[in-house]
Formats: sequence, C-alpha cells, structure tokens
Amino acid sequence: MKQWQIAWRNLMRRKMRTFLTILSIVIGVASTFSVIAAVDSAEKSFPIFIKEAFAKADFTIAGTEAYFSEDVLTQTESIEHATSIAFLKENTKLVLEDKEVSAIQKRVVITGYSKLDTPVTGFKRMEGDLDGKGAVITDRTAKVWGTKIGDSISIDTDHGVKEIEVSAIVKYTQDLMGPSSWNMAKYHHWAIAVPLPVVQEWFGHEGEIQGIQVRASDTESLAAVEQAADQLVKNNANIYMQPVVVNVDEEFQKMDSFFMALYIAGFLGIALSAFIIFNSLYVSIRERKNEFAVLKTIGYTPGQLQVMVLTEVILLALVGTVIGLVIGYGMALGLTALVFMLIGITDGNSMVLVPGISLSLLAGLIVPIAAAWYPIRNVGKISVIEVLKENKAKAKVGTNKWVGIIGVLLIGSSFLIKHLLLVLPLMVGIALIFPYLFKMFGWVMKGFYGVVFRFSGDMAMRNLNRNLSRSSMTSVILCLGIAMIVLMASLNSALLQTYEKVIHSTYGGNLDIMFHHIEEEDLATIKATKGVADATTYSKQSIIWTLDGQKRMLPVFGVGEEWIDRFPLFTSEEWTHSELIGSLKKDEIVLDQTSFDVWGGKIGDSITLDTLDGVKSFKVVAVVSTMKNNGYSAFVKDHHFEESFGVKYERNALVIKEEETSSLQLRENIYGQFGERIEEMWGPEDWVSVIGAVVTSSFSIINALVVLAIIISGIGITNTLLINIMERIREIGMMRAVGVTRKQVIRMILLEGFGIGLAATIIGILFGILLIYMTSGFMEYNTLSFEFGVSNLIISLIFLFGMIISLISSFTPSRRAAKIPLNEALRYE
Amino acid sequence: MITVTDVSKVYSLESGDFYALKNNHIHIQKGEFVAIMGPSGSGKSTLLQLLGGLDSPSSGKIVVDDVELNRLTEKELTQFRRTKLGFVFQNYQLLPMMTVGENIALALSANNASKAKIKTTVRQLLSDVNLEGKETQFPSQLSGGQQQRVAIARALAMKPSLILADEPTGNLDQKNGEDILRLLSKLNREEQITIVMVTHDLQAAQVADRIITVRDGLIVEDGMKGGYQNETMANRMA
Repeated sequence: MKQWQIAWRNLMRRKMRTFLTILSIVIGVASTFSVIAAVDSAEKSFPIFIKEAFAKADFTIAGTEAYFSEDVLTQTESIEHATSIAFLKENTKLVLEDKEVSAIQKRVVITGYSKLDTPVTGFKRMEGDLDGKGAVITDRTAKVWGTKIGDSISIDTDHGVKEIEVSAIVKYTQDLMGPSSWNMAKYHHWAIAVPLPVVQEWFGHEGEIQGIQVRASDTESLAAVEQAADQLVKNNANIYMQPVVVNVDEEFQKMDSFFMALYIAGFLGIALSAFIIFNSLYVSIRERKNEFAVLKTIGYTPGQLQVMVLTEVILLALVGTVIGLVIGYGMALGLTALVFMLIGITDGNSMVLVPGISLSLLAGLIVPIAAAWYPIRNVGKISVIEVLKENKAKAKVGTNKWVGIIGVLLIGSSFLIKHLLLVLPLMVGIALIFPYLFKMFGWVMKGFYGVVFRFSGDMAMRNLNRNLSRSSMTSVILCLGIAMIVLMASLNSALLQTYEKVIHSTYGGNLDIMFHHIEEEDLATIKATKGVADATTYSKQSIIWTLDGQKRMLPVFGVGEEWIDRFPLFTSEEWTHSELIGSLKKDEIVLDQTSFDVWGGKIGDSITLDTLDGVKSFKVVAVVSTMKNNGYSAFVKDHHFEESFGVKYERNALVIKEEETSSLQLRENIYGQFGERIEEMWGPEDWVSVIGAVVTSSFSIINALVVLAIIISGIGITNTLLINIMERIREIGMMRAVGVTRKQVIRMILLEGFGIGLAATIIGILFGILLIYMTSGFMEYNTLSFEFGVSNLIISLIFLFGMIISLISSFTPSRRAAKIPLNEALRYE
Repeated sequence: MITVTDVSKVYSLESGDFYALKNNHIHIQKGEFVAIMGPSGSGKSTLLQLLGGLDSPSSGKIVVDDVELNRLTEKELTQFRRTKLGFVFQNYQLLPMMTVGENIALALSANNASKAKIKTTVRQLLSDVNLEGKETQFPSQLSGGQQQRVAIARALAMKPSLILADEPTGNLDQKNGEDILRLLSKLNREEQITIVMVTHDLQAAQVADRIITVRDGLIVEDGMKGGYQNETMANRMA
C-alpha cells in the first residue's frame, strides 16, 4: 500500500506531465478498443445481416415468361417443413395532387405478397398490423411522405386511380428500399407491399404471380425441401428454381484492406502513447537522479528503485487503461455504427466486446511497461558518486550507428513487402533514422530561424539541437501520424478518381435502363426519345456457380459485337471490344478481373456454370476490367446468350445522351416515354456517387483515428516542451533577468514546438509520399490499382494541419514559460 | 542612485504572514560598492531581487536611477533591466549550448544589435575580464572562476550603471573568489558602476565601501567598513 502511495505522490509532483501521459494512454487504449470492437462486431454481424436482408428465402421459383399461374403456390405450400409466399411486382406511380413533384419522383414499385407476416418477408413491424388488408411501408418512407397508419395512398393502376390505407409501418428493409427524400426520388423509386390479390386486381393479373419464395423451417429440412421443390418444378412447365445465393465472402473480402487500415490506425495510437510514456519516464528519472542516488546511499538496492518506478508506470497504465476502456466503449459504439453504416448493415444489434477489451487491456498495461523498460533499467545504473559529486561533465551522447543501419535496412525491407503491412517496418525504420533526419533538418532550418525570427529563432534552434534525442523523438511521433494521413488522404482521392474514370469508361453509355421486359419496338422508341443520341438493348442473367462447395452468383452479360465499341462495358489492353466479342464461340466466356481472381483458374481453363438448362462448361478466353455490376461480371456473345442460359427476353437498354441534354433530363424524357414499365434507371454518375460515398466514408473513419493519433503527437509536443521548460527554468529566469522580454521567451518556446512540428510535417509528408509510391505498386480495391499521385491541395491542407497542431501544442508551454516568476526561477534547483 | 523607502515584502503562508523584509529604508549613491550581508533566510537575496525588479515589494517604494520600479509595466521593467542593470549569479547561469562569446552577447542579441557591434563589444569585454581568446569556447571548457568572469562580462554587455551580484564568489575557491572581487572592485572604481553584492562571507564583503547587515527582514546595521582586517583585505583587492 505504501509503495502505491509513494508512487502516486511522485506522479503528483508533476501533475501536468502525469495528466498528459495518462491522456496519451487513454487515447491509445480507446482507439485500440474501438477499432477491435468495431471490426469484430462488423465481422460477426455482416453475414447474419446479409442472410437476413438478402437471403430470407432459401429458393426462388420463377417463370421463363414474365408471369405464371398462382396454382404453383398451392403446390409449394404442400411441401413439408417449408414456408412459401408468392409475389407479384408492378411498377406504377403515386397519385399526388397537392404535391409539386415531377413524374419521375412519383415512381413506386408495388409488390403483392400472398402473406405479409412470415419469416420470408421478414418485415419488422413498428406500428399497425401486418395481417390487415392495407399497405405496408417503411419508417423512412412514412417519414418522407408524412404518412401515418390509416392514411390513404393513391396509386395509378390499369383500372384507374386506386386508394389503399396504410395498415403497417415496418423497419427499413432491403425489400422495401426507398429514397431518403423527395429529391432522391429522382434517382430511386418508392416501394410498398400490399396483399397479393390487391396487385392482381389492380393490374389485371388475377390468378397470376411472378415468383415464389420458399424457406425451409430449419437447416436439416433444407435438402428435403430442395428435393420436393425440384420435383415440383419438373412437374410444371415454364417455371424454374434457383437457390438464393449471396456472395457474403466476396462482399466481405472487399473490406479486408479497410479493416487492415483501421487496425494500423488503431495500432498507431497505442504506439504513439508508448513514445510519450518513454519520453516522460526518461526525463522524470533524469530529474530525480539525485533522489535515487541519496536513496542508494541509505541502502536501497537497484531492484528496489526499479520497482519504485515500475509502480509509478503501473499506476499510470492502470488509470489510463481504465479511463481508456470507458471512453473506448463510447468510441466503439460510434465507430461500430459508422462501420455498419458503411457496409450497409442497417440492423446490427450485437457488439463483440470481449476480444477488444482483452487486447486493449493487455496493450494498455504491457505497452507502457515495455516503453518504460529502458528508463527503468537506467534507474538501477545511476552512479551515486557521479551524481553526488555533481559531476556536470556529461559524456557526449553519440548516436548509435547500428540504430541507423537497422533503420535503413528496415526501410529497405519494406520495399519488398507487397501488402499494406509494409507500413510497420517502414515506420519503425523511419523512427530509427529520424534523429539523423531531424539533425539535417535542424541544419537547414538554422539559418532560416536566425534570419526570420532573429534572437528567439536562434535560441529555439539551439535548444532543439541541445535536446536532439528528445526533440526528434517527439517529432517522429507527429511525423508518423502525418505520413499516415498523407497516405490515406491521397489513397482516397486517387481511388475516387480511378473509380470515376473506370466507371465512365465501362458503363456502356450514360444510362442503363432495366425494364420489366423489353418489347420489339422499344429500342426504336428509346432512340426516338428527345435527348437520346444512341441506344441498344442487352441481356443479363445471374447464373449460379459452385466453387469450393459454395454457391455464388455470377452476373453474365450478353454483348453484341456490333454495338460494344459504342457502348463499352469493359476495357481490355489486348483487344478491341468488337474483336474480342466477335471472336467468342458458343461455349466461350470472358471474365472480369474480380470474378477471374475468385475463380482462380487460368485463361484456357473451363468454368462450370449452373444454367437454367443444367450445368454447362465455358472456356475462359480473356480477362477484362469493368466496374459494371461493381466489377464482378462475365461476358458472352449475345447470339449465344439465349441458347447458353435459357433466358428468352432482354430487360436492359443502354443509352447515350446528346451532349446538350443533362442526365436528369434524359431520365425524365425516358420515364415520360415508358413510365411504369421502367424498373430501374442507373447512370455512371449514380455509381460514382454511391461508390464515392462508401470510399470516402471508409477513409473518413480511418482518418479520424489517424487524427486521434496526431492529437496524441500534439500531446507529445506539449509534454516535451513542458519538460524542456522545467529543466531550463533557471536559465529562462536568467534570460529574463538580463533583459529578454516575455514575448521573446514565448516566441522562443513557440518556435521550439513549431520546429518539432515543422520537421515532423515536412519529413512526414515526404514519408507519406514514399508510402503512396510504394503502395501504388500493388494496392488495389476491387481490382482497381491506382496511379501514383499527390494532390497539392491535400498536401497543403495536411501541412497546415501539422503546423496548427504544433502551434496549439506549444501555446500552453510557452505561456507557462513566460509566466515563471523570476525570483523563483533563479532559486529553482 | 537607489532609494528604498519603507519597503516590506510579505509572503502569505498557511501559518500566517511571513515578513521577508519589513519597513526598510536604504539610500545608495551612484558609484558606491555596497555589500549586503546576513545569515540564510535573513532577506538579503529578496532585497537584491526587489532592487533588480525581479520581484515587487508588498509595500513601499524603490527608485533606481530616478525610475520608480513599482510604476513600471512588465515590458518597461524588462527594458529597464536590459539597459540599466547587470546581474551576476552564484551559479554563473551561463547557457551551456552557447559559446563564451554568445553568452556575453545574449542581451545584445535580445536587443537585436548588429553583428559588428556584438563582435566589437564581446572582444572588448573579454579583454576587460582577462579572457581574450576564449570567445569560441563553451562554458564547460572553463574553470569556475573563468565562468564567473564570463557572467560578469555578460552583465556588462549593455553598459549598465548598476550591477547586482548574488553571492558571486559562493561557488569559487579562495583564489578565484579574490580574482572576481578584484574585478568587481576595478569596475566600480574605473567605470563608476554602482555595485550591490549579496554575500554571507565577511571577507568578501570587506571589498565594498559599505556593508548593510540584514537580519529577520530588518536592516540592523548600515555603515562604512573599518578595522585592520578590512584595510588589509581592501588593500589586497586594490
């Protein structure tokens, strides 16, 4: 007990330093905890969410024609241990008399379900009744429309305007996905669910349905249900069955680099805390050399002295870790919510906290002790005679050349690593050679400081050189943070630019329209629509593909040799579009780079796809790049599409607009022409904005963590300057006594902090650019590599940020130095 | 030159008010060499700090060179110290990362003096304190006595009319101590610089024209030196 009390009193002797050291541990622990908890929670929730959102059913029965008989539902309902619902979707529009919105904003998809309250629909009721005969809308839609239970919605149908009451409001779900505002309704339609007979009656499809979703009651029954459904499909002409497949692993693989970057940013926080702890302890022990020497003379062993200091470190670590965990929990909640939002989880309900708590607890306790190891070791080595003789002659501290050599080797080795992990050896290497860099920087800056800031600048530079190791150690902390933020910001910008370029060059025009089905005269109508320069139609079908026992969906496009040059859906370095498509034989296919990588085969090998007519093999003849379908696709010649995949109709049209027509005008003109027959309209700018939002949000989260690390660096600067002032208190007193003004003292300390920050920022930016150069060689996101590029704006902003952090961090110490009472300063021992 | 009128310095302690100085009056003529003596904690260093404007009195008035220190702002006080005063400390207080020349030039640099002026002044001062050729050496390369000479040269850099010396020989052996006292005495005689020196060493105090003794915050004795021993000491210093 006494040991702890002594340790606590020792810590309280330097309250500000103790506070800053604890603060750095708090931020380090909190960032580690929040990153681990957020990533773990996302990893746990993502597959569950995807399954619940996209794969509530196990099988879908669809027709080879647009509609088939409702009688099939009666048959599926007889399958044991299974729930079946039939659905029928129609595109129509809302009838809004008193609302001034364009026709395109009124688009609504109305889906009739044979049952609304089943595990297959999975609606989570918030208000109202799912057994009623009214409409079901999501809470988001209800909010935008200002609709309550019992209010009526007017719908334009084949039999005139019909009204239906809202009987239930449910939690936002993928099946009833709608825009978040009236403005966003220009780009996405509304969605409502109603009982099946309502849609059948309103749109004249009595006795007809579009599909049936079948869900087995449990995993054990799955095989039996599949067999029964398969038999049922064979007994009925014009229908087929497909398992519901979600590519969870591929979706999640895309997040790997993001999670890795998050981990590195979290690691940076705790690593920077370690630097600050080392710094504080090192100085604290030097300050107390006399005390330790006296204690030795009265019989304290080196071990006892070391335990004394260790107790202080443990106390710091305990307090910092406990507070860090509490704050980290709050941060974890926020970060998890952000990550969930980013990867599209709207219903993540469970946090995974145990691994995060365990690891950050360990990090919070072990990292400070490890960081304090060297200073603690020095406590035992203090020589009583040297200290008590007040032998002021200090051995010249030389820089260990091996440290520099190891640093250079580590930097060199990082060039061989083709993974984001290269950041680690590179960072350690930079940290080891940093004293040399700082010295060089000091040499360059000396003249500048002297000329521009005269006396204060000259004194500041001398003080920085005098405490070279401490100054450079503080500077390197900020340098690493700055380098990371340069890398992340430039990656973000480079990715966005690359995405935009690739999306526009592989979208196949300015608009992709998905119809319910395309009729013969539709293409001519599109071409004749105002603002349309050219148009074509194409087929697309998601094909089941089994790899390593896992079922996946591979979207296959039927591409025309005669139009692909005008409507490019991919890029190829070896071929022109028409040459490649023209050369394709019936059983040949072209894969996109992502699907090619997932497949793992070679060009010339065959890929097996589960088509509507059974399993077929296709020879992979080329690999291309595309961002169509988010860069996961395959292409075959359109003449072979129907034969190969058994789909008889086309549903999509690609449109190139006239130059003077805007994208929105084009959509409105097309919608004006086809109205409810259009299911979806997407343009390249929509994809750019969707993907841009995801990329920018990902980087914002990482950058927020790196900014936290930079704040720790700021704390490091404040800490170092306070230590410097404490050591030079008599010196500052003397300077003031001989006529150095307060302003000059303030400026001197500010310039010391500014020098540390300036060196860190400039070297950090250069190091960041090196990182960009190194990572640009191998980094890719959805197979898109990005080009080496450094934005002047980003670099300028980061430079400004580094400078502001340095100045803010130096402000308190400089004020403190100027306020030192002269009489006390001159007496200070 | 210096007039101290009814000056007190009070510190508020938990146990009550502590008077470091109590209602003291002093008058020091221009060109005088005054030694302030007294045991530890008597208030002699506090008095020196008040004279140098390093601290302010709780009551009373201090006038130095017709300037009432109490009325000066922080900025004016700094300017006053820079131009009128020279400080010499027991521990020399030289900046270890600066050469001898740079230490001497500290106040000049802070005053943004030209390089040429700094160079000439430093050379002259080094010659005055018998340290020619030591300009580029660092304090750690000099003996204690030499370091104190550098400190005196630094105090002289702005040509002050008053030097305040706090135990200038306290850290030196007898030989070096005598050298420093001789130098201060010479400056007082030849340059007419007023010197106020705090010391607890009676022998050192004998070099002064006048000795003020402080005890428990009160001036208990203020008189011209006298006696055989003092004569001998004074002769030795001459």
